[in-house]
Amino acid sequence: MTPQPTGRQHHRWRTAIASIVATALLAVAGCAGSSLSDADTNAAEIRIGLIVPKTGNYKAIGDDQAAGWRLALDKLGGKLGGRPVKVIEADEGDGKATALASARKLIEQDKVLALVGGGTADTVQTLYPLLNESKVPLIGMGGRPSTIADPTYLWSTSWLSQETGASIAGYLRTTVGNGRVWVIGPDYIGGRDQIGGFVTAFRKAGGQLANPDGEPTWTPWAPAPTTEFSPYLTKIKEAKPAAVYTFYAGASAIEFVKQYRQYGITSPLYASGFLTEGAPLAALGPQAKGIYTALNYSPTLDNAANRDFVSRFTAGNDGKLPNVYHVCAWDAALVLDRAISEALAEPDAPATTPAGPGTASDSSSPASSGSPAASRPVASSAAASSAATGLTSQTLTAALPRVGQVDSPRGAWQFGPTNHTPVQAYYLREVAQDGQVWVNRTVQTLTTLGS
Amino acid sequence: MGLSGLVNPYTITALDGVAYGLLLFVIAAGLTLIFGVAGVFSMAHGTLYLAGAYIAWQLADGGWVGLGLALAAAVLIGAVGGAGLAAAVRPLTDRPLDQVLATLGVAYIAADGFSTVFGAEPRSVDPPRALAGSVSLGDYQYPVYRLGFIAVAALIVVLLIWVVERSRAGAVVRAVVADPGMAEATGLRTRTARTAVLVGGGVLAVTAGVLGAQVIGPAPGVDTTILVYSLIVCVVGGLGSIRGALLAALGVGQVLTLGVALVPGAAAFVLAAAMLVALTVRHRPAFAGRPA
Repeated sequence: MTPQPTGRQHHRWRTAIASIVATALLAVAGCAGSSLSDADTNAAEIRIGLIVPKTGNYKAIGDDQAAGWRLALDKLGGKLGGRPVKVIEADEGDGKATALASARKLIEQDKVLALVGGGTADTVQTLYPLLNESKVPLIGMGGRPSTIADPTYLWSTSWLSQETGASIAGYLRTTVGNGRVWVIGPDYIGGRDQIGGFVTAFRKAGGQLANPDGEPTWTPWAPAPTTEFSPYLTKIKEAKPAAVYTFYAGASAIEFVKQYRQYGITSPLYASGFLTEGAPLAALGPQAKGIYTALNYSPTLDNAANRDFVSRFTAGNDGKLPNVYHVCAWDAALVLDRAISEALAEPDAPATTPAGPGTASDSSSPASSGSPAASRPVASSAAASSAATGLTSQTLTAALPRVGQVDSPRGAWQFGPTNHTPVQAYYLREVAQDGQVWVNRTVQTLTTLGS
Repeated sequence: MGLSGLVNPYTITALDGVAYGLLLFVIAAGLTLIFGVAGVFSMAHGTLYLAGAYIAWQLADGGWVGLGLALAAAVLIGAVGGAGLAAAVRPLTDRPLDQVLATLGVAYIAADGFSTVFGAEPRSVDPPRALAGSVSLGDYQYPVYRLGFIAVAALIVVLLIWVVERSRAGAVVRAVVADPGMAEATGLRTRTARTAVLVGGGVLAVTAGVLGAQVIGPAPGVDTTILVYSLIVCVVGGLGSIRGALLAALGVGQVLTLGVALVPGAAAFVLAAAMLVALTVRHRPAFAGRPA
């Protein structure tokens, strides 16, 4: 048989591994300890928990979100609502367990006033019960699941996944006339929401799908995301549809577009904006030329807020252009700034809840916004911050409906009453060259959606 | 008419299946030999592929020099990586679960290292200019790089099968796969054979990463994707069997391409169904590999 390692060798390995683990644990404990002691030195300081993907497949999104958030805080002079801010960052990983552990730590140990972040819908879905239980609001700035029943503590600056496709359906119907559109997308919940939003609105507008069975083509997401699109593309080539509509993001988006070109598909390609947002566009460059996409932001939008935002961003990023993740994170800071000012000014003001089926019609809902004053005194227990000024997670949540219009780089928007997602414009964008870089150039405004 | 009759969506798709299958084989051949000879189920195999893909991305310059440099770097890094894995699992001999955990740990650490060094964005790798673009086959277009890849991969297949089945080194490898105890008793240096196979498997996986980066580009998570596919190929093909792995890889390649084209509604299940059939129908490896 093979020579067995001696006991001494065994021992040495164990000691080595144990010391590595111990060092790692000490490092983690050290970080946590220091963040706590600093926070106690300034009583007026507000603590905000930033939870974004710092590891795993969505790290690129998390990096962009953190950058957008920091850029906005810089602009606001490191203050929200005039109060100095301590941001405690945590990792949401791939959602699920990591996200939950990070959020619990932020709420229970760091006693943050509010959470911001959430790269994926999975994370928001996972944190949703914890928000309701601890009554700490989350300003979501990424994926938003369509299954949230009671969004009292969930306010998103991003989008609803169905909206992107729905916004372009009418335009595409007019463009292709009686022609048919081939629809293809990834078989997971986000893909189904994105594609479903398009198909429903497109059919309502009288459009027809070119797929053989009249239903969208779903590409497998398990055991691994599809990167081999040739079988689907060969069929599309044969069918010669008037246009193709799709949604992919990240690595799948790159492979889809590359192969779309390699296999010589000549039908025009329309897509949800994520196909050419951020990293995929940078990787694809000229191969993405002429793709039309719909999204709630384009870096070439011509408004004062966007000009300021883009110039600040490019100055600090070597000329790179911002994307929608930067914008949604930037807006989250604007929202908190306004809401904290509101809560400090009028901690006892009743929330002017906009009329809507979600919150207003149901007076027995746990929504602090519509509930009688009796619930207010107990609010301070779980929440952070000094009770003297009346700024608690509860009063902050109550102030969120009063934020009003947010002067965003994507154009002004405000929270919808039902889902607490932005009522915002969607834009038609075309991939085009601007000097050395490839950009999603604004073509026209498609429609305003949100609820 | 003769050509256009032959060129239809299904033959094009089947050709893709061949390219994809050969890629899977070059990746998985190393893993199946590593398991057969060294008894190690290396969870870091996808990591080696991803390292190769990042090398290709880093060194690709649109010419042959970049590709050549990337391949040279792949051989070096594959050998170092394989030797490193061999050293990491040596203290854990005869503790297969601990070996799986150790290699899984290596994979996690490496994945974190990759996103720190290369960034977390998915990257696109372009082939040398001479192989960029597509050729027309009847009404259809086919990427030139894939045709080139099929040729190179076929060469690797022939070489690999010759080495394993005809060369003296291959005889040692097969002897250790068949009966490690007897091989050692007859004076074969099994420990050297184990390290050599880990090194060889590493070189194959990193090389596959360089060549395959144009088909499955570098991005976080690709290591896991590749690991899943290689495990499927190894299990379906019979552990330690090189010809079994070839058949399984070509089969999985066809299932992932022609399969989803023929039964689009069941695209998500065809691979699982094929695995189920292979595992229930086949009682022992398709070709002499590990004795039952």
